[in-house]
Amino acid sequence: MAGGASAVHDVRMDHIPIGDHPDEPDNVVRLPGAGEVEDRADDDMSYEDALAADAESDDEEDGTSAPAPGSQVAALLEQGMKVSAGLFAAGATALADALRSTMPKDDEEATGPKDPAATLAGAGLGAAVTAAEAAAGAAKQVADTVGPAVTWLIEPRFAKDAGEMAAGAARVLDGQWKASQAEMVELATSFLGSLVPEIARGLADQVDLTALVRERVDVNAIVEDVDIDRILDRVDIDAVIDRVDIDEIVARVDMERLARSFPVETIVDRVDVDRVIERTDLVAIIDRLDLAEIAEEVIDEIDLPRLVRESSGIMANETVQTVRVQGMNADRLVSRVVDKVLRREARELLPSGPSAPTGDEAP
Amino acid sequence: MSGAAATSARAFPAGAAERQGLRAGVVSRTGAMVIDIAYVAMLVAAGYAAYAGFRFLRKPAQFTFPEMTMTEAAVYGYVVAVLMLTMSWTGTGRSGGARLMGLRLLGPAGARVGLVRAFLRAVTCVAFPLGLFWSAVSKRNASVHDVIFGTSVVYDWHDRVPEARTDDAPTS
Repeated sequence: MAGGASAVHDVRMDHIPIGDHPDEPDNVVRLPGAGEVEDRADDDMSYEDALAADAESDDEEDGTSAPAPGSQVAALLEQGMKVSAGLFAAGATALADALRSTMPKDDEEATGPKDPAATLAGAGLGAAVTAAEAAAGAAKQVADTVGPAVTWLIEPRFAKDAGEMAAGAARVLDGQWKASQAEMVELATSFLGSLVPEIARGLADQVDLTALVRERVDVNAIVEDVDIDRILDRVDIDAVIDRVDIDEIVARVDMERLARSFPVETIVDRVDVDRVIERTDLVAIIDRLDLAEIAEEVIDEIDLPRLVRESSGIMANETVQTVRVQGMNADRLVSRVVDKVLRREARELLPSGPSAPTGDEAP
Repeated sequence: MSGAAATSARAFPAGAAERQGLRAGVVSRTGAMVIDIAYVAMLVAAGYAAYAGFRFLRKPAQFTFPEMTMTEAAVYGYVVAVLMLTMSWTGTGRSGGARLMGLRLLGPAGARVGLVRAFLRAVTCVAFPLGLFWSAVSKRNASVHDVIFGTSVVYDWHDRVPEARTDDAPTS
């Protein structure tokens, strides 16, 4: 805080009018007490001094007298008393209602025009209010309050009929209470409104609600009671879908694994290929193909002359072999016929010489 | 070579491999002779066309096809045939027809035929082609020319050429 104060001090030092800037513009937003700080710029002013200066400045501007530090404490005390009284009132009202509901209904006469219990409670509260107000003004008004009270206490009427005085005082106090009841209950309500969430938060920090729910709550039973259909009816699926980033989901899918487990065979079995072909415009597809270019590419890929050479060579070779084999068979047939006519056993077909070719030799 | 031989042997049709090197019969040899005659005829015709072309180029204005009687053609054919057969037999041992039919001419020791023997056999073959048909009767599938020059014609589909033989002396 002291640092903050010095910062304020420094800032104001920058705005000290010197030399070239004699006139300070009127539209400058000034921090409270700025004038005082400027006036005392050369002094080593503490934060307390600055506050005091602010207070003085405010006093001078408002033209009203501010309450002394003692009076602020008194106001706080008064507020606390009011809140306590409100709390007490709320509790007492609830208690009285509860008691009244349990008690048997008596005659109207017995209760009288006014409930003495309520009157007494109101009186007590009124006294509390008064005490609060008294405490609030205690610092300044001790002397003012003491004198009349003493005078009032030594009044002959008080001595004469103390019972009546007490009853009258009680009615007055009750009236005071009634007058300020609404304000006090409102104060107590706002106090509880800010207090209860804090208490709940503190409790939640201390208690493991999840474990507690697991231990104590039969979640299955609750789930069984839930009407899922009704919940679904209330869910805006389209809005949910709009919020889903499909692309990101697809990017995270393991497509290979998906493809492996995909029942392709089943799907293929169910596809009516004939129907697909019927609906396909083959002519349009063919029109889009550059058949000439494709044919050129294919021919470039294939060594057509070599293919023709090899295939024709194979054909010629097969033809020649067929002719040779036919010749061999015919030779054998003729030999057998001649041998049979000449009644010979067999022919000497193996030529003489060492280098006669055999079937095992290489070509 | 052994691998290539195995591959070549496998490429042979059924019954062909085991008959390689055996003396060939009359039908195959006649086929080879017919093909050779066709070759010779084509060569004669080609020579005639070449001569005609030469005449045309020399005197185009007075060009007429050269006259050639059948006798002249036959003489040319004989000459061409003798030259062709002599060169073939001394070289690879087979003429064009014999190559097509898978035949090869071997000398007395199973080697290549010498030049003199080849020339004399060629002259004999061209002069007396019917001597070929004796191979149908011969026990060793030998034609008249084979008997005279001690040669033999075998089935040989391989491209390998047998060793040359220096002995040109014809035997019985």
